Amino acid sequence: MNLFFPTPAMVSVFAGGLGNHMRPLLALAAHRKCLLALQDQERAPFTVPSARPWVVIIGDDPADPETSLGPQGFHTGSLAALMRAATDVTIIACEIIPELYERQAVLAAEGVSGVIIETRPQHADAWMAFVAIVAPGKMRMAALLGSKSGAA
Amino acid sequence: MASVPADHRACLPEGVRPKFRLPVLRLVCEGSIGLVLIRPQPEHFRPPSIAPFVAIVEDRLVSRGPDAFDLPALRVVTRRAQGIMVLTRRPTIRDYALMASVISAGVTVMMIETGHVHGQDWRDFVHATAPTASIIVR
Repeated sequence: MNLFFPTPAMVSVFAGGLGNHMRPLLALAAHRKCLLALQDQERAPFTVPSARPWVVIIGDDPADPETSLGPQGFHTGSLAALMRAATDVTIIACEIIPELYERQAVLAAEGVSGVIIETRPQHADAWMAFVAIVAPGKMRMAALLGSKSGAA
Repeated sequence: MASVPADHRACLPEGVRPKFRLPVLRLVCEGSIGLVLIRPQPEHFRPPSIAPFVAIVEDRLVSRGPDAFDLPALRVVTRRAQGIMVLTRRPTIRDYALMASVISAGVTVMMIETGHVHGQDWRDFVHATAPTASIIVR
């Protein structure tokens, strides 16, 4: 899990590397209003951030669509613990929708810890089923192929 | 800015040198940034005179923590880094690709390749030495 501690002066630089949609979350992290973390595919266990509020981005959308693995690409127990500890889970299985990152930043500013799952369309169902099982009711938003976004 | 890799072995392929560093090494080989490879003592190193540069700390294969390095020189380099990534797991090409994009913006960065055993030691060292740097811990 990559924990980000940017400085305000470096928000634009990191937004250049991670994508401009990350700017609101980076800005929040830069002012220590939330802890920002990115978890790439990795089957090793990881821990839920200890400082709240936090926003964790689950990166299941590598550059090559074939290497998107769904929940199986991650350590199941750690994922389940993360979802249970979150208040809000968003699944994005289509193109980047900046408004969903802004929404998470607004929630985090209010003290809400959340997860954004970035995945590919073929794994959207698997992610929704996983969240429904381990953290019922936590999935608030799902952006799927062909839809802009919608409340779950 | 013209620069020459401090150590040509850094550009060798996987097995000799890890290929996850390629995104950053490409920039070095293009001559746009400087490179300093930092290894435990008895090796000494000189902080580069040019900027931006990437400093790669090799504390991964036999992890010994910051105290095993030339600390005065290490502190000088660390203070000059505006972005620091502490890698406590095996580095990936995505880690280096992210920092390559940061370097491309003219920012000096430090990549600390270490393990879990000394991960906290490195975090403490970085926070104490470069409190105003942006830090990514993995």
